[in-house]
Amino acid sequence: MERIYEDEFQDVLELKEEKELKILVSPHTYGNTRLILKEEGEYRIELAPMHSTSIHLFIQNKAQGKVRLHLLGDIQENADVKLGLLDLEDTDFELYESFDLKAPGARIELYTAQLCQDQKKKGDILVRHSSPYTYGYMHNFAVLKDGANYEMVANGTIDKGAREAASHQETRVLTVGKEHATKVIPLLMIDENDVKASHALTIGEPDENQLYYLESRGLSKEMALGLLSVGYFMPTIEMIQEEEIREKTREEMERKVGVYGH
Amino acid sequence: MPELVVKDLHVRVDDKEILKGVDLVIKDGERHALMGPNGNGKSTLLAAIMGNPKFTVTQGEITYDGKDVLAMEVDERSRLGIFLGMQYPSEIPGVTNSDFLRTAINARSEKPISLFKFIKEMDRAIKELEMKPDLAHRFLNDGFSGGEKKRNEIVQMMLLKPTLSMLDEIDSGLDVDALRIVADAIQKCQEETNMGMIIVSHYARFLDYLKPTHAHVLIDGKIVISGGVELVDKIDKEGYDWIEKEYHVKANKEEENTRPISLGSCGAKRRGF
Repeated sequence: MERIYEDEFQDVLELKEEKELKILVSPHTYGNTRLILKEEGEYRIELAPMHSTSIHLFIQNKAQGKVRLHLLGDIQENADVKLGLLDLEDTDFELYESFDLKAPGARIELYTAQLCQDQKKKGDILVRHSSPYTYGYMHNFAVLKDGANYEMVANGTIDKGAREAASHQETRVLTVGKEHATKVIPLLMIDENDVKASHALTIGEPDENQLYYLESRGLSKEMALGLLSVGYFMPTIEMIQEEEIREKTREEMERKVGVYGH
Repeated sequence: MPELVVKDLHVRVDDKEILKGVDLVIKDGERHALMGPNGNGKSTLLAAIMGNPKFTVTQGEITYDGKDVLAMEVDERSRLGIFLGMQYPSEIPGVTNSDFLRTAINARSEKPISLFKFIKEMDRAIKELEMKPDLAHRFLNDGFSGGEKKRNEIVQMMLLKPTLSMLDEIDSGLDVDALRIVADAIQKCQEETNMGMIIVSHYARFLDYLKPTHAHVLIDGKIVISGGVELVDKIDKEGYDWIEKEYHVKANKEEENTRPISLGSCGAKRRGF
């Protein structure tokens, strides 16, 4: 399947049997796409934003079986990409992202928000700065319940000559269950001097003082843990443009993390 | 009429006994000022009533409305009507005040509060406490000044409508004007709910505003003297020394911080590399 956007767009797509999608954003075009993955299987989504474009792509996994998702693309001059992935399903998920900031002014901001319980969620993300004056930021959030297995490799690579590139990343993992495993590898591969780069990583249980504070206001432990999890998902959910869908998705997330108790 | 009864309460933190037999009864509508030098057990008493897991009750009883409080989890105590306005409220980034408060209100009622009613009540509390209108959308206590955190505790109290409210140095960090605003809001809340109150404060001005019906002095883990508002006035004028002499007790002095102090990194440049 191929989508070619021009001027201004707002699109909703569901991928089922068709598992390959190419999105071409014509020059001087901007808009939003919401994409639902409905079925298990291996997906390949290629983004081709031309110069002077802006695209916000929100992807939600709704498949009831294992998904392997490949996201890739070359970002051209002054193109701005914001891409969010929300995965609340009790299924295995593998994510492979590879984006190349090809020309000056190219920007990409990537979000993942995953709820894990008894499954393996694996991510391998690369943002390559092959041109000067480019910007990349990877935000990875995960909440781990009982038996979860989470793995994330986030790689910001700055090539020689990509001066004044900025490569940032953060990975935040909240563990609220038992017997879970986490492996997070933040990588910065820098071959240029005049750059900005940073990484931040936290993995851990909720702060006991925060839990006590919430419980002292009448929240059960499950509700308190759920509420502390909400902040891990909201930056991604807020990418949904349609208010009604956004609120429904938020409710679904709050229910799954336990904000409403049993 | 719910009544808090504390009998012979002994509490430990780690291996140190902080409370050594406290007895206290608080009824609806009463305002009890709890006073005493720092480090003698005031905050410990409130934390033990609330159920802070860092504090271990080794002896004694706490009942509220005839129910065994010590057998309850922290959240159950809250839903029973007990509220603790904390001295150091936690900062919780990622959780907005409105999400938190709606969840807390819904946790104590069978039917979820309507959005309209919630916004109305929240707006009212924000106005009364003269806080910034964006409070609902800010993360819980995150980046708040000391005064804002304390006012936010009172906003929570107003929305949760407890039947017993314990305020632990809620006046610290407040300037003179804010002190008046907070005291007025507390008074109004009590007039509406008739809640019982325990107020820990070192400031006579705050207690002047709140006009306690009872006062107690806690020294070395025990309430050594109780009285009325005249006790607050006397302590304001004369301090605690006379109590130590008259009642043959010795106040614990807070331990000085003996941790080594870092002078930061050395500013000298490294040479020879």
